[in-house]
Amino acid sequence: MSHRIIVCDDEPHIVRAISLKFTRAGFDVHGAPDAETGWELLKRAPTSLLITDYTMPGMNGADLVRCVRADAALADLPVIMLTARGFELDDEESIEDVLRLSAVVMKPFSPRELVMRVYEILKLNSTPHMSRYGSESALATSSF
Amino acid sequence: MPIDSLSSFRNCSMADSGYFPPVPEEARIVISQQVWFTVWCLPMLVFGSLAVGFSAIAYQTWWPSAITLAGCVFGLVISLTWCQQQSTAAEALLRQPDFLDIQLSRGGLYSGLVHASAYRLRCMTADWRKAAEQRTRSDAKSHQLRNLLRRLEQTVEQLSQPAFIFDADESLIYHNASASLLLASVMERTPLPPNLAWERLGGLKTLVASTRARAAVTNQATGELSFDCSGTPAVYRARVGNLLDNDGRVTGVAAVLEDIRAEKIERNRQAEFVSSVSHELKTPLASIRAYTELMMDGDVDDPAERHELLKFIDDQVMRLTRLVNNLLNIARVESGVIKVQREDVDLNVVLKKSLSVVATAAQEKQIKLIEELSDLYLPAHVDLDLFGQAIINLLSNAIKYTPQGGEVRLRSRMDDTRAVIEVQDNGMGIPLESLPRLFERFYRVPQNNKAAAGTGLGLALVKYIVTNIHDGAISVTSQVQQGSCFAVQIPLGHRERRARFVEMQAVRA
Repeated sequence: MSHRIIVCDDEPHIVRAISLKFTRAGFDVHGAPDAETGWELLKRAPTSLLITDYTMPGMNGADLVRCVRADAALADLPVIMLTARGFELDDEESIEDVLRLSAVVMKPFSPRELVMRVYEILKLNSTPHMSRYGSESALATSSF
Repeated sequence: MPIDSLSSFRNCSMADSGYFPPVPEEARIVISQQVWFTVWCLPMLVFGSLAVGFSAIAYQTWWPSAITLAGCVFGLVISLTWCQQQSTAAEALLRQPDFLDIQLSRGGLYSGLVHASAYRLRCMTADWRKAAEQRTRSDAKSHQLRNLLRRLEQTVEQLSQPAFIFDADESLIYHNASASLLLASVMERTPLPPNLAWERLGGLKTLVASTRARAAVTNQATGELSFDCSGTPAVYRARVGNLLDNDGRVTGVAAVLEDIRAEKIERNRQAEFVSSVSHELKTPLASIRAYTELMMDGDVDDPAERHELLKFIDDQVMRLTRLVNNLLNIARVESGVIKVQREDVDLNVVLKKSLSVVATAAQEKQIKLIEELSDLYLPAHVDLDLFGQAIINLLSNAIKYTPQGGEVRLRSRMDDTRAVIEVQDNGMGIPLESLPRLFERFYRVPQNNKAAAGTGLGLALVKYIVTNIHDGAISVTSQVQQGSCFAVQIPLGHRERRARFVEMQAVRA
């Protein structure tokens, strides 16, 4: 059974690119254009990992993760936060700690490295698809 | 004072300076006492004479007694006169130091006594004079210090920053006028004496205490204070310093507060700007990078999908180019790299040119451009390129956010001393809550965000050109689904007339 991943970003092309990459890597990817929809998707079925943007209209990524952490069923869900803004840089460590994020990935990022990061977080072995790029470094926190 | 010790006073010269203080009352009394003391020997003489007279009477004859009594009276008169002279001479000695030597050279019955009294008085006067000089000097010094203190106090009093001085026990002993105002606004509802009210200034109490406690390490500290001031949150930067005596002991603590609300707002604004630039640049870059990598990795097999992604990448490159151009325009205008070249123009001509620039875009969306320009000649002194750009930005926005088949009107009219230009559309309008932020950089109306591509910089540039470069004003009225109207006002008149107008306004002011 493939892992269910929720991708939450108000930029549809980011959701599309991540979905494409992760679907080909064998994941069950569900995209959400905002945090509210993302939250709905999370509640709907057991999820392995959440990838969310930080800046979104309405509820932002941090708010979504707070909801996740407050929910007993989702409290330990691994979360990767994407961000394109510069000003959170100073707070990132604290946000990472407070929200217990698995990783903070700076935009623009490499979908390939993101997949490898997810493998690392979910403690999965490489897939046939990923083995093509296995030699590349996928351990960098940010890919800019 | 013993006569043998007088030699020690020989050196006391009052002739060193021409200054003699007036003879004090005390000295007069001394003179009288000294002189009258010498006079007591005369009654003894009189008593002796009377004794002789008595013995003569005892021999039964009157004339020896009469002669003796006459002699006594005569002696008394002579001695009183002499005493008066001695008293005057002694007093004169105080005024003329050389007089003493003249008297001594003449000699006389009481010259030794006069000598002693005069010296004593002379030295007393010298002491008094020294003390007087010292007092004059210290008076001058304390006068200078008082002046300096008054000036310092006035300087501190006039500071716009609240200043406080605490003693070694951290009790408030001084605060200036600004500090009084601040304390008054802090304790608006519950009046307190200043020595208690200052403790409400955020963490000032802690900062003062810690600065004093850390005197061995450093005598200065800076901290940020946040407290409620007249119902609004205030942020102050406090600079606190220990006041030391000559031995380096802390005798007090001084604190000067600086209002950093504006600085903080500006800092946040700049941080927000950097963050917005970062977001606006990185978002298209993220899509470009993601799609490029997907195609390079062979994740997109369908040629139609590949083409679609390439088209999107191209759009994002255009978006980035537009964004960078707008950013550069703002930076160039604000930093003064673009030289503002104003000239006398007819505003209607500028407006017509701007309309022609956006005509194609309007045509593509089948939007009707309606020109409602004033029949009057509207003289203005503007930079053609910049002002034209501002009008083009307003017209482009109106076209972008108006659905196909809509209308965009450009109006101009004269309003007293100003020209008014209005750009009105019947497009999607702007929600009320977005209006205050409309001219902020990178602000885009969330509801209209997806209707058209934009950078959120166009209106910020328009506002800068109108208000900062052309001394004008811009306002907006809007209704959702009804349309928006942007009104630009700039001073009317060519250069000469405007100069005269500005002059007249200055005279009126």
